[in-house]
Amino acid sequence: MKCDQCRSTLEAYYDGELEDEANLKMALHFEDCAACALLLQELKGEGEVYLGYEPPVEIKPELWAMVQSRIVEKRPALSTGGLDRLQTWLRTNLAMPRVSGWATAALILVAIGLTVTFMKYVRFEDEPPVVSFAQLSKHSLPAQKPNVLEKITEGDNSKGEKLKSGLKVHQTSVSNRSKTASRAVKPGHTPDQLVREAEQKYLAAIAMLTRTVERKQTRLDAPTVSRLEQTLASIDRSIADTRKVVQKHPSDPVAVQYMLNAYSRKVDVLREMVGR
Amino acid sequence: MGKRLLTHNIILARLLGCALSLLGAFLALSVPLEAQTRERHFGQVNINAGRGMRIGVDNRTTGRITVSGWDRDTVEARAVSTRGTEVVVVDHYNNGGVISFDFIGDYADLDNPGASNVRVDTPPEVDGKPLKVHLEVRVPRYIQLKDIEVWRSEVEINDMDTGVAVSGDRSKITLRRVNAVKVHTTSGDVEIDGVNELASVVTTTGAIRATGSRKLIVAVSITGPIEVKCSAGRVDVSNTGAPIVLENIDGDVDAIATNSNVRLSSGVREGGRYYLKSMSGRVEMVLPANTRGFDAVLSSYQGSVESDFKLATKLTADGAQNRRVAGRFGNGKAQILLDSFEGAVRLARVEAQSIPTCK
Repeated sequence: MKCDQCRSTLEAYYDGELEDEANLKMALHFEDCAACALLLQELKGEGEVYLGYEPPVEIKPELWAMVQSRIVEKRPALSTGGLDRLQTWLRTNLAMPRVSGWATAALILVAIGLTVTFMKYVRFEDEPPVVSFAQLSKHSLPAQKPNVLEKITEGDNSKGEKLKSGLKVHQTSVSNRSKTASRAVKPGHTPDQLVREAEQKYLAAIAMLTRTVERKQTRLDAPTVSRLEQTLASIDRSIADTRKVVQKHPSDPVAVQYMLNAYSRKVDVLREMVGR
Repeated sequence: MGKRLLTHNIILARLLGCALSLLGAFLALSVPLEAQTRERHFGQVNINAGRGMRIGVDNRTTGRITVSGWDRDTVEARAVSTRGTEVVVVDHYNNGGVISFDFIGDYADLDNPGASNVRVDTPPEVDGKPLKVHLEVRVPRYIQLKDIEVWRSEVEINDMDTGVAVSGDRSKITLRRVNAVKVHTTSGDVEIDGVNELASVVTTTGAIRATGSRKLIVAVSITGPIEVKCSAGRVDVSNTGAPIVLENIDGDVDAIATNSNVRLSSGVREGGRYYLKSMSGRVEMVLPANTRGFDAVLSSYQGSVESDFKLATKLTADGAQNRRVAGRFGNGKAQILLDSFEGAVRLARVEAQSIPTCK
């Protein structure tokens, strides 16, 4: 056996995953080759370190008791016999004791990130769902709530107090606002990517301005709100129309320009309202 | 009774006549216009030209197409390649009295140079690509050129008193001293110089460079940088992801970018209007110190707003967001509007000689 071959199967040998014959060859090689034998010793040493590892923080039984009592306080209604049994069963059968809480949280964040990225990619191809924020009037959602965007379907007029299409923004803009706002234009982007990025920037700006306008709602009189609604509804129609054309001809600079100009007009109107 | 029958027959005859006319017109339009004659010329070809004649240019595979206007009433065409002289195919059409010729650069059969009427079936190749045949055509300045459609052939047109329309994919297009131009490319760069009337240029990723235009320039691109210099007329440009640079513009300016910077270095004209805007890029207008005056509105929602000129301020909003300065300098006879959402906005003042002059 050559050293390269030995080293490539060293970990498998250490883990006891090799066949008998391969095991024997490895053992014979270690007798003849001091360098590979040293590698094996290092691997064994690493393994012992891992096996001997204990968390440096000792969690005292009192702490567990306190955590347990808090959990019970938070879920009094759920502590029924049947549910307890179910939970115990789930804990014992589905728990993964080797995965720490931080690792779980990290996995969840990675999964969310991947999902958001995927959805963002897919979203551009389809007509994005339209969201609107609640009515500018004081009867709407509490002013201190920072995010009052609420998803509605296109043409949903059932909620009388909502602005119709006037203050619609695309939902994608909300989730990606902070990301896109700070992203610099990278050289080498394809036209499609650049257009998507430009659109996301406008959407992020519109979402941000819309929230600001909403916070100023009490200062706007009814005729102003009405004019704002009409203006924004008209611009939204332009955006929708031009967006359809861009979807059909994504690399047509003129179509792209019309669409972005429509977004720009919406930003201008909202900025004007913010400045009042 | 007989009179009524006669009237009836007359109406029927007229209807039949109309139907036949419509059918004839339909057939005339639906049948493609075939070349009436086709000739292959090895070496230079000369044709007498006349007003109303239309000229088309093309090549069989690829190569540069050059059209130059001159003061003679003849059309002269030749095709060359690195091998030497090639063939010019001339298609002649007569469409209801309108005479037109198409000149197409093609490969000569070098084994039989005299037999120019023999078409080479397989284009010769160089490094695995078709050999480039360059077509050079000289035409009277007044000749109307047919729309030129190319894929990757470079196109160069000079000294024409008529309008030119060119559509290319990867082609570099250069137009100099042409009356009016309309150009569209995907990735090919476009350079225009000294256009008299409207210049309309659209590219997806190709760069646009325009100098010395006398009337309106409209330029649109997604990722191609736009540079316009020494324009006597209005400039209307927009870009999504590449910078817009303007220099010495006498006419009004509308320059709108989304992800990129906009910069104008120029004096201002009394009555002129200069509107520069970007979504996330920097917006800057550089004026000579001897500027006589303007009204300016500078605004940025998230960026800084600066002016080197001391404005008689009408309005200032200097909060953390939505910064805005509006004011007058000097006679206030020009209008300047600079705006960005995320980027910085600056009205800069430099010595007059710092701004390059036009030749």
